[in-house]
Amino acid sequence: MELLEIRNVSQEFGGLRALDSVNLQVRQEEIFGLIGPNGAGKTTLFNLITGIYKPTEGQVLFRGRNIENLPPHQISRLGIGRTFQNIRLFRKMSVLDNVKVGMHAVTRAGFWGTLREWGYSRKEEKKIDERARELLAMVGLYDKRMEYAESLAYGEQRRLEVARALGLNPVLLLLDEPAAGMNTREKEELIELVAGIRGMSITVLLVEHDMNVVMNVCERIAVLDYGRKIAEGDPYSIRNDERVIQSYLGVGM
Amino acid sequence: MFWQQLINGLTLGSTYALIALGYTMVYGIIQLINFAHGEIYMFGAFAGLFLVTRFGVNVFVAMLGAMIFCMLLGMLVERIAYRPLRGRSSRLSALISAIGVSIFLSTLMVLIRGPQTDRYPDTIEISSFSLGPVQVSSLQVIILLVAALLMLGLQVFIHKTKMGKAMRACSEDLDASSLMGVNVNRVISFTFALGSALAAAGGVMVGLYYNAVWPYMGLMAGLKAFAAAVLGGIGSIPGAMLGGLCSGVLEIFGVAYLASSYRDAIAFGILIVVLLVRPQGILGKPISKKV
Amino acid sequence: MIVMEQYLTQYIDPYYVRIAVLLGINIVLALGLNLITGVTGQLSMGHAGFMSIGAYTAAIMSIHAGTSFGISLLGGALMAAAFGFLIGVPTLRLEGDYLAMVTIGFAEIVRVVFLNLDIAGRAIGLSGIPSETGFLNVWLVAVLVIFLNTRLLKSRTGRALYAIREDEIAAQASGINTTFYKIFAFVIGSFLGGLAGGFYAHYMTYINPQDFGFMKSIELLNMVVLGGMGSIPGTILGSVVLTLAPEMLRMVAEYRLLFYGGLLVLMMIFRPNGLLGDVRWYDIRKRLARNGVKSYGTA
Repeated sequence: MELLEIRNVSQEFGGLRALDSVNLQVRQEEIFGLIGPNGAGKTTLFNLITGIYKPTEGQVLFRGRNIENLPPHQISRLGIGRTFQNIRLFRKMSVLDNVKVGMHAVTRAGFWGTLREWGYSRKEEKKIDERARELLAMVGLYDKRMEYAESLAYGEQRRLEVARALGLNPVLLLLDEPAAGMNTREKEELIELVAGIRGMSITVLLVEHDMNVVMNVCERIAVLDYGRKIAEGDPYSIRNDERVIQSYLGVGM
Repeated sequence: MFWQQLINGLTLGSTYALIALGYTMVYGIIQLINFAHGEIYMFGAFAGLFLVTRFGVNVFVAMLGAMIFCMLLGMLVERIAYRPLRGRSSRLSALISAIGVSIFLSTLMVLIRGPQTDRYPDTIEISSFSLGPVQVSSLQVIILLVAALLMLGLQVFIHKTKMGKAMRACSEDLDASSLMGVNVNRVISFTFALGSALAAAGGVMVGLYYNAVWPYMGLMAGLKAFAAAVLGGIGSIPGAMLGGLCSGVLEIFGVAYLASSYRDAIAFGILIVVLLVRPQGILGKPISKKV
Repeated sequence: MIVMEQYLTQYIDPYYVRIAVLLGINIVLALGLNLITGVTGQLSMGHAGFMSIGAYTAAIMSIHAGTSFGISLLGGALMAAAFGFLIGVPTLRLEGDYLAMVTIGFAEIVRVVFLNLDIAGRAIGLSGIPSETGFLNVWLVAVLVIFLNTRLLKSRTGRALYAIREDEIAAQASGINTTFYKIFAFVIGSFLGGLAGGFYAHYMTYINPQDFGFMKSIELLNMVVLGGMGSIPGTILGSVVLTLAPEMLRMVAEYRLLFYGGLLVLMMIFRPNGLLGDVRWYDIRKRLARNGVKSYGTA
């Protein structure tokens, strides 16, 4: 069944149509790629799904439930995690604390509990700590856990964003250009990481410019151009689609 | 009574509008509440006073002199306290720096000349005439006329000159303008100069109208003008004009019909109500976040 | 406790006791503001307003209702917190810097209201407040506040507050209800402001609206900024420096303000995180350890 369904969604910014009646279905436990030239509306779509924008028209359904009018923090609590194209880490917090913040949605210790610091909240804090360390080990940042997030290298910052998003035990993970600015070796590690995430039965929706990454990890791909979906299919058919080649892939492919 | 208060309110409001323009232009471009703007206005009032008393110049010449002085002061403040922070610090840092400048400037004035209040000498003959039941003083006419001329001039400048276009482009999108070859630093510097000049004109006129200038006059006037800019829609130039006039009228009516001792509270009451009901103000666009 | 208090005042110069009491009050005030501005990143510039609400409420309760000191303090703090809530709800759901302006305006309104209120003694102020505050009770509360604050900032709630300061959108994407936490920080900060105000009133035994003007708010903001935004040791350091400096330098008030203003600008340009804002035990230990190895090697 569809985990995420985008139904006839349009988004306008002051007369500019950034998205034009887009339809999209993402199935449970697949890796779905979203490609298209700059300004095609990919990040806008992400912001719509995560509640930062409200669509001008159309619906967004997650597990059959309308989420287009929910505030961002409630949407993430449903199990939708994301990373950002222009990295948004908590710069002056430690790497470990960044991941712990990511677990905010799945923990519940409140003000009074933390003041007393015993019983439930203490046990929970221990669990948070263990889980955050696990996730950091998974993305290869365990040794840097006490550094400030801003002191990490670019590729490490991207991986930390992934770890933070995994903190909320997502059902659906949105990755916004995770390979941007990475070198070849880092990209290979990233492909491995995405495969690992899939192994945790998490569905992944991926925006990416790097064709190599997209073709390697995605099972299905949709192509956006000027806010419209111009193609959808498996990597092979996308690679051979006339319109896609014309508008986006160009001669380079 | 009503019409009389309306004229008084519009006179006060037009000076608020002149100050509010500086807030709104700077906010439109760099999203900074230029907290020191009220102090620039205060310096303008004193610069005008200085020129009138020391050199015995005509009030209009003094106003012009004050405007030029404040242009330089505004650019200097931007250069020293804001530009070093741009691009590498949070908005919170920039705002705190602006507050620092504001305190620095008002205390500087106290150290220069003491905290007491001064009055403008009677340089212009104030006559008053009746328009039906309303008493209008020549000073009110002058203030309304000068304010209207300055705002008209600003509109023409913004829409007809190259620098005006650059300013509008920067308030749409600073980064894109920079990529298009607009010298962003120059535009920002110029925006501060323009806003400061308008505030200086407002300062001289308020000094004349209330016949009082003192070093802490900038704080309250600045806050009220900011409230006016928010009322009109922050970032919108016509909004600042409208918001200024509305604030002035509301304040005068509040004093006349409610309670005079709560005068300074009225502006903040307005601010809080606007934020509750319509945060983007009368003419502002809804704010969209950049992600 | 009363015996100990007497003992203290008998053997220690009352001047030092006085400074220590004021320092304790300032620490509680500054930690409250630190929670709002330093930790959560919401600029509040009317902290003296909340202090005055606490001071007047507690004083009026003590004088007119004859409540005990503890109850008066609690009443003042709760009143300040309630006003913090009223101001915070409309303002904090908005983005941007509106809070700074609204809080200045609010503090001014509060001042004007007390100037016009009969029960608050109008411009003359309120005198005859029972003298209840002493070194021991102030510092007992100050230490408790420091302790609870430290716990809070290390907890899940504390991390959420820091995250809001660092990046609001990323915080939302992590499931944090940013509006709720901003209001939460604001209410707790106002509560502490009101609490300190109550102590202040019962120490001075006379209060006046001019004690809680804009410059008081700026002084408190400076304590947070100087020591380090968001850092508890930093805020305490800032409170100590700015409580002691005027006493030791005997500066004329005007020069002090000039200094405050210049200090804010210079701090923002050269050390926006304050003296201790981004200094952590972890980094110090690491550096010590590295130096230790080096000296061992060369020995």
